[in-house]
This record gives sequence, C-alpha cells and structure tokens, in this order.
Amino acid sequence: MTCRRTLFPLLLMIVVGLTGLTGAGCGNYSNEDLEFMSALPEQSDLSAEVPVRSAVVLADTAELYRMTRNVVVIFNGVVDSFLSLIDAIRAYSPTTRLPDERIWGPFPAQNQPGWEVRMVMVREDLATFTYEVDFRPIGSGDDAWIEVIGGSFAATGGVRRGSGHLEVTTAAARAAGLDPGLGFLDSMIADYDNHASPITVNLSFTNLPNPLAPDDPTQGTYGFSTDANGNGSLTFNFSANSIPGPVGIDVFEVTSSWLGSGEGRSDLQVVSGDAAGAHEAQCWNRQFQVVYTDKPWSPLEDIGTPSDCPAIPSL
Amino acid sequence: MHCRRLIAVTLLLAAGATRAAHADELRRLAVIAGNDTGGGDTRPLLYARDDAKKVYDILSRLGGVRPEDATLILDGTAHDFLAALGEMERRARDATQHGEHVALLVYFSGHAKDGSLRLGDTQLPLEALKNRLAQAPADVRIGIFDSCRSGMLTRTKGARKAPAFEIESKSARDAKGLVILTSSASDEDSQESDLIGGSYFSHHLASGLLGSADRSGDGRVTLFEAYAYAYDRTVADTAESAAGAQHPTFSYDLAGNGDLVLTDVGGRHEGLYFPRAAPSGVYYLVDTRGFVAAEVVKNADADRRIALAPGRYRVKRRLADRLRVGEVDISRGQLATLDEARLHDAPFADDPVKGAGLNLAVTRWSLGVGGTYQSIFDAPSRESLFPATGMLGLEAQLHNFFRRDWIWAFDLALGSATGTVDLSTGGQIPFHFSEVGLGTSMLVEWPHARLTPFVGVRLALLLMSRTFDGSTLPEQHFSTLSPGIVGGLKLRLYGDLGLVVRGRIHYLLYNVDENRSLGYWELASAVSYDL
Repeated sequence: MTCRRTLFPLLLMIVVGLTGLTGAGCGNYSNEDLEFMSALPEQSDLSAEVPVRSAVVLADTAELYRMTRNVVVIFNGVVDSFLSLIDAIRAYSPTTRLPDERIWGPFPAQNQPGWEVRMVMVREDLATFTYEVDFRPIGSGDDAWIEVIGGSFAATGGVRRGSGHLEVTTAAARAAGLDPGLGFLDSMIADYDNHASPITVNLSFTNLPNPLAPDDPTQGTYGFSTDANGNGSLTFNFSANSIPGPVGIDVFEVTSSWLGSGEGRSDLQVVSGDAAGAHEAQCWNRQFQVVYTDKPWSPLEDIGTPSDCPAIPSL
Repeated sequence: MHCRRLIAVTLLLAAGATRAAHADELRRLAVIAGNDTGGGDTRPLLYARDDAKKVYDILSRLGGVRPEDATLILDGTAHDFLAALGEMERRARDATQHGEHVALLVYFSGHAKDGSLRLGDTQLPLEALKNRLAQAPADVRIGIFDSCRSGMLTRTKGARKAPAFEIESKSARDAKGLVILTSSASDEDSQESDLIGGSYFSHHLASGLLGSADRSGDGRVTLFEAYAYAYDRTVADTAESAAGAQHPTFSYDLAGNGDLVLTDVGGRHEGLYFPRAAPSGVYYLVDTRGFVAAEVVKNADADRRIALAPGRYRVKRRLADRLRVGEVDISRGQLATLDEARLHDAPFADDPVKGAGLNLAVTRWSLGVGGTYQSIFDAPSRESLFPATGMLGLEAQLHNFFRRDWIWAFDLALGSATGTVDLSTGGQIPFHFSEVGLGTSMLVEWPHARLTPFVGVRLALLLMSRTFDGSTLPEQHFSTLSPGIVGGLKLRLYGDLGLVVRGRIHYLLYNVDENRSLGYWELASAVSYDL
C-alpha cells in the first residue's frame, strides 16, 4: 500500500505535466491579433464632429450651421452602418490564425437567414493590411463568397493611426438575393487619414432609388477634416427645391468650416437649378446665431458684413 | 505506539593492529542507515530515519567520528548500504595499513523480515551481512540492528550471548573482534513510540550515548554502558505494552577483553549538568519540536552530565501526583546546570511530552494565506504578454498522506497587473491583466526544530486574461498547465503558527501566436497554521 500511495501522485503529476508540456494551452491571448484588429477602423476614426452647445437647435440658429449639423448626423449614420458590421465581427477573436492572415468566421449572418458572413484580414507587409467582409449562402463552397466590404489600411504609427481605404459594394449581394442590411446604399468609397492633424475623411456614396422618397439624393460626397484644436470643415452636396423657379430641384455644394470655439462659416454654391452659379455665404457666432448672411436670391435675409465673420484657418 | 518495528542497527567497531605512530588513536568509521519502508508486505515505519539521524548526530558530535568517515543513508537501498559499507571497508583497510587502530560501526534502523533487512523494496540477508562484518578489515566491528526479530543475529554461531554488565573496561585498542547489538530478541517485535518519536531501543541508546548511560561517571559512555542502559530502559518501557516486553540482545566475539568508548560526554563543554543535589528520578528533555531529545535516569547521590546539542529544552520530571517542568537553554560551548528551583509544578495535562512524533508523522492538514510575486523570465514576454503580477493566495497542505514528510499541497492565487502591448506598427495598447492560479504540489520536507526546508514539484493551472480600456478589442484569455519545481523554508513562529517563504520556477508553453517556451519564477511568503 505504501508504494501505491507513493507512486500514484507522481504518476498523476507526470502524466498531467507531460500533457501540459505537449500543448494544453488554449485561448485567444495574442499580441498579433491586436496588430490585425488595430488596423480596422472604429467609428471614432471616421465620424465627423461639429461644435454643439445643446442637443436642441434654437430658432435663431444659423440656417447653414443647422444644415451642416444635420449632414454630419447623416454622414455619421452612413459610416456607422458598415462599421457596426466590422465591430460586430471584431468583438470576437479570430477563428483561424494563419501566418500573416486572420479569419473571423464564418458566422451565421444576423437577420439574414441562410447566409453566413466572414471577415478575412491579410497582412501584406509590416504596416499594410487588407480586409474584406464576405457573405455566402450557408453550405456553399469557397468560390461563393461575395465581397460586400473591402478595405486596406497603411499603419504609420500609433494605434489605428494611418491611412485607410474602404469600399462597400452591395450590387453583387443584392443580385444573389442577400439584403446586406445597409438600407438603400448601393456603393460607397471612403478614404481616411488620421496619421496626423488634420484628420481627413472623404466619402462618396451611391444610393438606390427609394420609392418612398423619390427626392432623396442618390449620390453624395462628403469631405471632412478636423485638427487637434477642434477646428473643422465639411464639404457636402445635396439636392432640394430650395430656390423658387421653374427648374424645381436645385443641386447645391456646401463648404462649412468652424473653429473649435463654435464660430463658423458656410459657403453654398448652386451647382445647377434655378439659380445655377449663385453663391450664398453665412457666418455664425459661438452661440451659432447668424452674424452675416449674403443670399442673392433672398436679399431680405442679408445681415451683417463680411467683417463679422470669424477668421478660420484652412485645413 | 507502533509495533512490528524492524529496526536493525549494526555497529561494527574494529580496533586494529597497533603501530607506534598511531598507537593511541582510534579511527572511527560509521555507516548509519534508516529506512521507513520495507516493501509492499510491510507497514511503513514512522521513525526509522529519525533514529538513524539521531545516532548519526551523536556519533559525529560526541563519538569521535569525523564527518568524512560517517555515511548516513536515509531510505536508501541495499545497494546503497553495501556501497557505503564497501567504501568504509576500503578506508579501514587503508587505515590499518598505515598503522591506525580502526573501529567500524554499522547501524541500521528499519524493517527486517524473513531473515533479511528490508531497505525499501530491496533486501539484505542478515547472515550475509553478519559474515561481511565479521570479515571487515577493522579491529573492532560493531553492528547495531534496530529491527524486529533482529535477535536472530545473536543466536548464530560464533557469537556468545552475554550478560549486560560483565565486560571489563579496558583501553579501546585492546578490543578486537565483533560485537552485535540488537533491539529485540529473535522472536520479538521492535516497537516505536509516538510519544517519544522514535523506537524505544534507539531512543534509549541515544539517551545513553548522550550521558545517561555513564554509570561510572567518568564522562565517557562505553559500548557496554550504552547497551546496559538501553536494555534496562527498553525492557521497562515495553513491559506493559500490548506487544509485550522487548528484550535487546548483545553478543560479542572478541579476541581480547576490552570495552570501547562510544561517546565522550565529559569532553564537551556544552550540555546540561544534573548536580548531585538534584532530585532523583527520570527526567525528560524535550526539544522545541516536542521530541524527547534525551531521557535521563538521575540516581540519588550521583551527578549526571548530558551532552545535549545547543538549543532550548523543556525539562520534565514526573512525580506521583504532578509534574515538575521548566525550561533550560543550552548555549554553544556552555554547560548549563539544572536548577530544581527553576522548575515548577504542573498538572499532568501540561505534560510537554505529548507525542510530537505523532503530530509530525500522522496525516494532518495545514492552511496558509499569503502573497506571491510572479514574473516571466523573458523580458519582452513579461512586458507585453504576461506582466509581473502580485497575487494573494491560499494553500492547504496534506501532510504524511502518501508517505511521512511528504506533503500534497493545493493552492489558489489571484492577482492582477497592468501592461502595455507595443505594436510592431507603432503605438501602444494598455491593458489590465488578471490571473487565477490553481496548483497542486508534491513536496518533501525535512522538519527541524524551527526551520523546515522543503522541495518538490508543482503543477499549476493558469487562467489568465486581459481587457483593454476604451477600445472595442475583445477580452483575451489564455489557460495552460504549467509544471514547475518548488523550494522553501517554513519557520515555526509560535505554537502551530508558522511563516513560509517559498520560491517556484515554472515552465509555461505559450502557443497562441506561436509555440514559445517561457519560464517564470515566483516568490511567496505566507502565514501557515497547522490544524
């Protein structure tokens, strides 16, 4: 009995110890995963911000500030629509680790019965990563993957610091019967650079016609930049029947810029429509109240002089 | 009390040929072995190793055996024993060739059965051993066997059974031949006592060698004095035992008459002196572990000198209705005198002899709580993967479950730290690291008075995770089994409380990004409590 008592724990420890030595470790504890995941954009990397004093927009708020603010909300919503998909996948650790490659999934696609989704990231070199989000019908082969989101990131130092390019294409997926959950978005291209101040994000999109809102723009471009002081600018275009006249829908291009303290200025150019070529300028103070308006097609709204406008450095 | 103890002690002392240059010197060689186990068909003993260590200590300290001339074998095999004996035979041969007088002493404490000493799973036939001792190239060979039925050795041809005290004392160099002492007769078991923490025979032999057996009062304990004392005390102590009285035996085959001084207690400056005026009776000297270091029979109108090792001892003398107890400090190089006035009355319930051996030898639990600091050896991995971590932990230890002085320990530790991942693309990601460690260890300890060193192996299950602030990065975790080695010291603080200082070195296989063999060390301290 003595010998058995003596040998049992030794044998047990040797067996278990050898098990440990031969690779019993498991988990997702990986620094390399962090390298990959840090190359994916987060919402804060691409979202636009304008100075805001209150959630409520007062009646005397400058019209073009209000418009800029509304566009920022739309802009961030578009960005969020596809980044949320990336975030949802990134919430998990990679399913497969290969040299210079990580694969998440495939997972069953949320709200898309019969479809599964995956994300593939490849490290092209030390600082360059490419990625894509693909869908395919469950049970189909590797050649059935349909790329919906594709992007690349060139790291230049710092966490998620660098320049990135991202494309969203829904046509192939829609043709295969998949609703990618991106509303009427047909395609989108985004380029961003957050390596140094100013941070820039340029985004253009094409929407499918919305039968419930036929006047909604089917194309748009946004250009956002901001520096470390909170100064920023946003260029966007929109279409609306804003100018009385026979043409109806007018197309505008707006460039808004502001200081971190709140003062700002917008310049609206009528690209086409009833007042094609016309230009409106409007400035506001820290309370976003109009201090200067020059609106050629509505002279009664003009107030102030150009000298009332803040001096805003170009970004 | 444990019976069926097979303890064999072989003391072979040989006084060799005399040459002028070394005529007055006696070179003493000793092989001392103790083995608690005797194979699968025997029950493990509890104190055989302790007996051997005690005899080894006394002979080294008081018996004139130079450290290089004594071999102590604990839980060794028959091969180990014979190898050590062969080495001592070689030395004896060399010494006698150089004209030295040589005494060879062999002591064994452990199992014996079916005519063989048992050393673990190996056997050593008694008859063959005796023949070998008889032919050993030494002047005097003394074998002491503390084992069951060891008395069969003294029944064999060529040895005469002798009464205890009838040997005339002469100078050591006059003694030549073979002497064998056994702990029990050929049909008797040898018994251990939890109360004294050893076998009766070896306990009394050791007490005798420390000075209790010095009947002549000349400060030297001879072989025959030691045997006579051990015989009397063993018979007296075992007379009422369930196993029956145990009768040590003594036989000799000496070419000349003579006695051999085994220990020189008068030559030591340190120890405890019982003055003539001290009350007569049996005194127990208990060390800080609770073991009876010596048992002294103090006769009226006689003084007694006991060569205790330096340390603190509790003194007990038993009266009919109470105890007389006290403490005495033995300082190095100083002879303390027992002062009866410094003893006080105590009820039997406060008997300091409570069977510390039982406490140390039986299965028992101890609990500990403390702190640990853990760090990976590899600096890059320590900085960006598993940061150095302070941990709080609990430990439960099961003592003497598998084997005496073996500990099966279970521990749990929790800790956290912060770290930073340096990305190869530049930038840093700070993280909060947390770890849970579950471990089991198999340890071997060597209990001493206050310090108990221990070493062993450990297997830990490590559960590690980290989170990243202000980021969408998911929590990461890693778990693995990690084997390692452990070593440390336990310091007895007070009563059952102790302080444990421990170091560990572990292997960790990290295999997520790549297979990476890592090691880490831990330093820990804990307060322990013996249940």
